[in-house]
Amino acid sequence: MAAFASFAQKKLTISGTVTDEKTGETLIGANIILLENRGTGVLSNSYGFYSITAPENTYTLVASFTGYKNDTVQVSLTKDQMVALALMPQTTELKEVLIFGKRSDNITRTLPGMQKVSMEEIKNVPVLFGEKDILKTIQLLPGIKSAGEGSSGFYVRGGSADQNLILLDEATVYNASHLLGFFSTFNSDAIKDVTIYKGDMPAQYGGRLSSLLDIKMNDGNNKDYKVSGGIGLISSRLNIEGPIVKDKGSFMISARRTYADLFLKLSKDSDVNKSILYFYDINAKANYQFGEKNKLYLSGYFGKDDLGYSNQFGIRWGNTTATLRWNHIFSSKLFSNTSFIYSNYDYNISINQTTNSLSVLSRIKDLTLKEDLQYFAGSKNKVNFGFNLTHHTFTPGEFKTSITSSYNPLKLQDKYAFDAALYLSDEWRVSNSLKFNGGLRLSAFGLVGPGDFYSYDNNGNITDTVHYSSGKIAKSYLNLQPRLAATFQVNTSSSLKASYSRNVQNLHLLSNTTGSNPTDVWIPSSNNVKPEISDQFSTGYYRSTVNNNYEFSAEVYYKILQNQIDYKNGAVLVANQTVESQLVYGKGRAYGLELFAKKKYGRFTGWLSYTLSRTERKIDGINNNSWYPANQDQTHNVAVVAIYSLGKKWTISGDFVYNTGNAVSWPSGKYEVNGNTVFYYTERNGYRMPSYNRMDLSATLQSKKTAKFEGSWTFSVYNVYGRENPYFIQFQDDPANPKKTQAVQYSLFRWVPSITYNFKF
Amino acid sequence: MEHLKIKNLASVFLFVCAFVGCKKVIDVKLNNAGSQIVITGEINNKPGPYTVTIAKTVNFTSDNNFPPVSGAFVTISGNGVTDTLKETNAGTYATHKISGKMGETYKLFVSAEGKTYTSLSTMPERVRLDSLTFLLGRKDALYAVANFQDPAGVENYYQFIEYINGQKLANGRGNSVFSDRLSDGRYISRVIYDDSSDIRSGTTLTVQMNCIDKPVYEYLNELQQISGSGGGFSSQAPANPTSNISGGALGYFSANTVTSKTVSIP
Repeated sequence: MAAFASFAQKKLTISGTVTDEKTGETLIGANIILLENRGTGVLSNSYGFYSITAPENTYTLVASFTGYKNDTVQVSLTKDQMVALALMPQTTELKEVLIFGKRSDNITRTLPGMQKVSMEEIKNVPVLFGEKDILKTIQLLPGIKSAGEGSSGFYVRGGSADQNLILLDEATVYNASHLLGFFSTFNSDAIKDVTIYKGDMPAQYGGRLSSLLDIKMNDGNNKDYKVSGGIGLISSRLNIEGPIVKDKGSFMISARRTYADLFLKLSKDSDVNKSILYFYDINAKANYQFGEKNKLYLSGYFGKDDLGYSNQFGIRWGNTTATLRWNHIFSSKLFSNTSFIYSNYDYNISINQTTNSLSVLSRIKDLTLKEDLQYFAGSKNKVNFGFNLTHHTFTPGEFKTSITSSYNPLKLQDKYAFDAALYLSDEWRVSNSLKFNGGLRLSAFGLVGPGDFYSYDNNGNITDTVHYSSGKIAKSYLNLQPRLAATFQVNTSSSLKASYSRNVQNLHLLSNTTGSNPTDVWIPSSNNVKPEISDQFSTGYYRSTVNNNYEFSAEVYYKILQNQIDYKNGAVLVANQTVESQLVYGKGRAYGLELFAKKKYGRFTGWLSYTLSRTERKIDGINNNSWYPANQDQTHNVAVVAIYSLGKKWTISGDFVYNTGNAVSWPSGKYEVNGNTVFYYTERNGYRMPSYNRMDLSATLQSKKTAKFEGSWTFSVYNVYGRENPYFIQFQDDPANPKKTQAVQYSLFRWVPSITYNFKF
Repeated sequence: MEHLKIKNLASVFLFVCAFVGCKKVIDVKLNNAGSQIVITGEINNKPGPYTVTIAKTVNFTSDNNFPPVSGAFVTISGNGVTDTLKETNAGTYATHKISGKMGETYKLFVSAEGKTYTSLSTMPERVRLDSLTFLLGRKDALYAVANFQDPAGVENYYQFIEYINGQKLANGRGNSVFSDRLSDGRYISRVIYDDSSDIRSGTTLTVQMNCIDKPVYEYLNELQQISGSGGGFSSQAPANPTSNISGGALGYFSANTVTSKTVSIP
């Protein structure tokens, strides 16, 4: 062995950071290769860091990234060295760039089911109220379904809405929607990178079954002060960024507020004009580079929704997250990131009536320490390892009442849990055409005292109560989660991938409404609620054209879900100390085919997405314990996105969606109780909603563009042909003929136009 | 110029509002489940006779004429008495000797079309309705408020039924249930929503408050969730309410107390 090493050529490492030349923003996923030794090429990591190891020689180092000009550096590699790469943004509006020697990302990436949406695409896709929106744009990708008309909630490959891990600068966002789901909590002005993993997530991440949506905020321009913003019908945005110390550190602050309630003030109705309906959010971030090897980032998000009706009823809810990160380069091969993370979600309801005054507070709060290390072990292996440790505090409900109230004050027991994980993964380049990505994640979840822990019989009655004192473990779960993926490159333009992943989820959202409800409550796994487990098998074929302009993929998946949660008939989920007695459990399975074709550059860009899928559940006591379609089971799902640049001034874009209706429970008869008609149900989700289709159009006019100032107008129409898409169907007595019953379809939005003015200086 | 834009924006927004939300009657193809038996019965602390009705379900598209089930054998027993009910109208059966007493458990037995059904219900202690007041809601709407003292230390379940000029409100309006789960021992002012369109000047309003047992509360609560405005998109998949009648019948049997208050609306 030693003899072999001495004969082998000496291997050396080039490492550094890839940034945007104009703003100093680090570039995530830039492609870095040595022209003379292409097999060693790497992608920059989430902090823009790269490391390439190659034998001693003189090389041409080329960095490329979509929307940027290539950066080429001659390197004479005689010792380990750091090379900072800075890329100039492409200024021509036709981003027809031939990336030098680069193979399309979708071919070389080892994880199937991973997709990125660029901020440029998000900017151009028309959405409801003209408010560009990350969560609504990803719903146009295959395998991702909308939770409902205009909703930012989504389902991935047959998972539930609570099975998506949404991270904003590493911090968990528990409720990603504003105003009952019509807006997402993410202000796209503040966002740099959006990546979604549809089940096959890197071993570094865990805690949710169906997907990881990894959102990274902008770092802020470290060269120049910049202001940008937008004024829309419903909301306005302002973004300010600039250097703290030029080239060393920068800050970014981005704020947004809706003002739907200003329009309410116009109403003469005193109940309406005293009502409140708005949200605001603030994203802020600062970073500072200490020498070549250390960088600190501090980022935070703060958002609040406020809904109030005529001083009588009010509900406020919101997320707060804060992340402190320390990037440290131990050596040219070892990159480390340490994060301290705080995340909080709470809601507060107040009811003010003369006799019935009541306020309710509910909260989930996390403190996390995370250590992620990346070891670039030679040219063949990239090893990721690390740990994370989270402490959760659950406050399910605290009720305060006035002395004359009809309700008693009540404090549901707080719950405490820790969530720890260790992981190790290796991306192994076996040869130029074969890559493996193997990972293991070991998670430990523990529910700890103080508190009383209940056991229940089949009827939900308490059979046993055990008290655990502070810090004592009431129940713990240890789960090993293997993640395996392989990529075989058939030739320079196509590849095959296959993968298997297991995910475990220990936090569960209790919600018995179909809409996104701010009062839904998260509960931890316990002696009664077992961890949810998913096993996903997927495989796919990926192809791109020679100049990388078109890409195509076809993926199939099969997913098995264990310990899924459903509710008993008439379940009481609110203010219930024994809420676990209201749950029933079962299994799920989901499988499907996802097709995706995309045109990436040129005047005309866009994509076509089609999903054929099935999502089923088998829950104790429902439909005689047999398999039935889940509510979100949509057989066909089509999305088309097209963006066309008409020249320097105008860009037009449009999208079209079609999907099979959700599976729903409708009556199969009727009867009478106490003089009222009651509908008779025979099975869960035995019917289908009518199908859904919609087209949206948008046009952007660049009204002014100088070196100092840019201004643009965006005009859009949601649901152009005004289709009355079904939102829900209600069955009722016919008001015109009490002898008859009828089905009434409710629709939400038809022809919603909007105008936004965006500026930048 | 700026003024003009703002004015335009405002008019666009109003235009948006005009097109938000619409409803229409649609045709849906529904399955026709075989006809099921529906039993509803009550015994209370007022003098009898008490009645039990037995009928059948019909298809969704049929008229709301629910075929009565005649010739059934029906008994209610409790407090040492077994009363065999007599069919007074097709599908309606009435007691002739049993009388309801608080704290007693009553058993309903039905034998119809070759099948038997049984149910047990316990009549709770009575809680008196103290007074009837009104809550002024938005746009001068009036809602009835039932005021009463909830007894401490026991689980109480209440049912409210409203009558205008002696007539029960249509479509189940003003019909609701309440549990003292979060209100034990409190003086309760229970607002009864969804009745304001019926409360008009010059009419008399009666609110009847029944004390019911837990299974009946659960049945009526689930019934409320799947009917009227409670259904549709707000609740989870609708399902038949859990009946306290064994043997596979729809409906329920309740032993309950009754109190009521009547006021004239000025």
